Amino acid sequence: MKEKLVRINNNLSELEKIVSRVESIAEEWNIPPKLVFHINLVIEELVTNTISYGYVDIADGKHEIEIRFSLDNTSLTIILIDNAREFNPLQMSDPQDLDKPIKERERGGLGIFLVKKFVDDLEYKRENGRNIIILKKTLTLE
Amino acid sequence: MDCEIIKVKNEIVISINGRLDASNSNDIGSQIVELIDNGNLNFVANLEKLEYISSAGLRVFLFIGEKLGDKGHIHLCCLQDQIKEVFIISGFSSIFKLFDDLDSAVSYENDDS
Repeated sequence: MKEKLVRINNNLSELEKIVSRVESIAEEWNIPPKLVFHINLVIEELVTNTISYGYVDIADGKHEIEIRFSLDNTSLTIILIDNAREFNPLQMSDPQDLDKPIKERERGGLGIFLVKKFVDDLEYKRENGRNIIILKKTLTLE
Repeated sequence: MDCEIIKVKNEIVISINGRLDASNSNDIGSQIVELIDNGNLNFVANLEKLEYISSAGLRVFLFIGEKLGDKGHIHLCCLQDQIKEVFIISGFSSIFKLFDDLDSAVSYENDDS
């Protein structure tokens, strides 16, 4: 099992750092580009959500978000850990009206919806005041 | 992300290059809003060199589409496979017209113009 750890602050400018770290990990672990796109997308959606909405009722200031990557023969696991207020992505309902005209579409939920579509497995735990989101992406030989 | 804006026939063609994510989607959004405020209503977004998009990027197109309403349009062209996948999964492929090449996007006869 291979492992990597990335730590970022609660600032959207950190997204760039995630992208470059994901790229170098992907290169080292031979992860195909299609998967790298999906990995970047799911991490961005969840991290952006945490940074934008997670800390509102906690005193302002710096918070750390941890992103752990691990790779075994069959899958890539990404674990996101933050101390933001409780947020369980599994409790969010999917947008119901993806085919309706623009004006009738409900806002929100789109990012989390994409996360669910682009991972094979999603688990959520709340432990010691922390959100722990475990994402799995099955590796297929290409 | 960077973008290039040119006028082709009656359309403003915006080529968006690189990554469109939560850290930069507002920039492109406000550039397009400025163009709309200056009276431009017909847009084509050329996504040939767009390598990445997230929901923040999708929301910019949604916002622009809503702002234009029935008065104008924003069509999209030249989406790379992975970008197209995001548009299809999110249902955005049914609310925007997607074209395979720039010529067809620009010369499409719109009922709003």
